[in-house]
Order: sequence, then C-alpha cells, then structure tokens
Amino acid sequence: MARPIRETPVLKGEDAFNFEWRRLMVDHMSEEQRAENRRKLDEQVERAKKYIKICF
Amino acid sequence: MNLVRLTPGYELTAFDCGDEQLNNFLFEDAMPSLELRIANTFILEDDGRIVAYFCLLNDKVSKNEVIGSRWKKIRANFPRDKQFSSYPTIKIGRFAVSLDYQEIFLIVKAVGLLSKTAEEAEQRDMSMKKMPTPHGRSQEPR
Repeated sequence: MARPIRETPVLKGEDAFNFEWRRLMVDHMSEEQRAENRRKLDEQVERAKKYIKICF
Repeated sequence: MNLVRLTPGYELTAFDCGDEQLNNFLFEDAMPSLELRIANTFILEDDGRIVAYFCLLNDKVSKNEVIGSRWKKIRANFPRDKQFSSYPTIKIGRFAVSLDYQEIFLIVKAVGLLSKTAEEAEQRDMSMKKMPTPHGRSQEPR
C-alpha cells in the first residue's frame, strides 16, 4: 500500500487569520479583467491541445 | 500525447518516476480510490507509455474561528453572509512524471519561465517608456 493522501489540516491561529485576511482583501475584478483572464486561459488551453489530445 | 481518465477497464503499463510511493499509488491505490469515489486519476500517455499521472479529489479548506480585536475591526467591513468556516477546493493528491520524461518536462518548464520572464520584462519596459522622467521627457528605450 502506498502512503495515503494526507488530509488538509484545519487552519488555526495566525494561519487562519492570514487566510481570511487574504481572502477578504482580494480585489474585485471588472468584467473586462475577467474577460481578459478568460481569453488568456482559453489561449493556453488551445496551445496545450496542439500537443495533448484530451480523451474523456 | 493523450490525456485519459483512469477507468476500471484501463490496463496500466510500466511506470517509474523514481519515487516508490508515487509508483505504488498508481498501481495499487488509484483504482480502489476510483471505485470508492475518493479520487479520480488522469494519465498522460505517449504511444501507450505512461508519461505522467495526477490524481484529483474534492477537498475543503477549513479554519478555526478567528478571534482577536484586530480581526473584529477588519471583519466589520465585510458582509456576514460572505464569511464561512470552510471553503470548497480541488486537491491535487498525487502528481508524478516518468523518469524518461522528467528532463523534457524540466526543459518545457524552463522555456515557459524564460518566455514569461521575457514577456514581463517587455511589459515593464513599455510601462517605463510611458513614465515621465524628472525632466518631463519619456525614458529612451534600452
């Protein structure tokens, strides 16, 4: 048997604080920024598809 | 190269990534994890040879209640219905690349990093050109 996949630990103390802080401080993106990010992602996927055929 | 999903009928061929635990996971645990609906494994193959595999599972990030006066001040600015004790995630449980392909992966990664660095440097140069100098003129291109 291989080593089992570890459970993700529950964040505590300073780690929990930092996680919440960063999550709440994420900048709200505009529609244009979202569209641009989507375009970049699609472009990267298309580039990958030139080399890799997805069969599922 | 084909990216396929591990299914009950899939016949695994030889695979060695140099890490016994990761090799064993593919041959011994990937299928039981699929049958128990714990994790899905995806295999990248090239001419019938396994190049790499990764396994994905649903997960969550949980946290204990954050307490303290500084936190109270910050949290007061955000709506209460957007604060949860856990958040859904997707976890990459295992990721391994065959020894035969590790060099290629490193080269691809290095090229990717170089082109990204070059792109960033170019963008930095462009924004520097637009910036006025203390004398009021745009900076000359390097």
